[in-house]
Amino acid sequence: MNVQFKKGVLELCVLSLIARKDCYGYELVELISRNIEIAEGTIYPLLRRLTKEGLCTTYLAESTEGPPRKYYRLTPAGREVQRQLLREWELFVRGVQNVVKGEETR
Amino acid sequence: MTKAEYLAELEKRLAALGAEERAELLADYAEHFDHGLADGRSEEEIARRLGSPQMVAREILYQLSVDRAQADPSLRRVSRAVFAGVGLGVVNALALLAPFLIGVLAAAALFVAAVFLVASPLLGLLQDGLTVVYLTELPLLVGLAGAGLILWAAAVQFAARFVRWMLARLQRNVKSRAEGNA
Repeated sequence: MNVQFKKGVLELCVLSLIARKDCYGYELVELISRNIEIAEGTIYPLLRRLTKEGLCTTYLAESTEGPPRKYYRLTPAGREVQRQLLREWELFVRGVQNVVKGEETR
Repeated sequence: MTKAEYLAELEKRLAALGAEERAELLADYAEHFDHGLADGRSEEEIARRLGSPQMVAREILYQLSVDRAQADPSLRRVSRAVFAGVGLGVVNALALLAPFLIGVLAAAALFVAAVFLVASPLLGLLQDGLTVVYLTELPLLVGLAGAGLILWAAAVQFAARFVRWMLARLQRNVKSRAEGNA
């Protein structure tokens, strides 16, 4: 997939996943890289930035199988940003489709 | 690359980070390896999928430099952030370096012009000596010096605005290249 398409979309992907349920880092990487080709190591700096910006919080939880997990939970501010990014993304996709398929632009 | 090698390389390259922050990030990557291993992957495969520690470290350090520029928006901090961003690839270099250089050159030109105008009575004196011609020109030269002061103030304004604008651009850039590895 073209690199330009992916730019900036990763933030929306991460926020949308943890909007559905709290996730730990490895889980997020797995869910995303299953669908989009990414350098997996760049998710952690992104998570660190989102945490710093107050869009999510973290907590540690033991697990019966495997190592303890650092979970990420969306904050209300994070939910707001996720909605905003999703709106922008949907507008963008619709706009591109209109152009590509030659439909009437608004 | 094994887990130990990967973490050691990453730690070495993140020396500029605070000890606590570095430990936190390294713990994230160590945890990632542990989960991958529990998933039945080899250390080599996990390392390959993460991307090189050099690339990951560059990404983290760029983010750090923009955070620092935001906390203290000086030209020095902003310049550092620009150059950290330039190291991330050709597209990024163009997106950051071109506006940065144009802005810096424009600000420098304004300051130099202001200095020349302010110094014009003195420059005239050096050129002509204390002659009648100089004395008749003096009001004009004083006027130029006044214009120079105004230009100086404008240059200061411009530089401050430019630094803020560049910082906003860096912040957008950090967000839009979250995917990295372009």
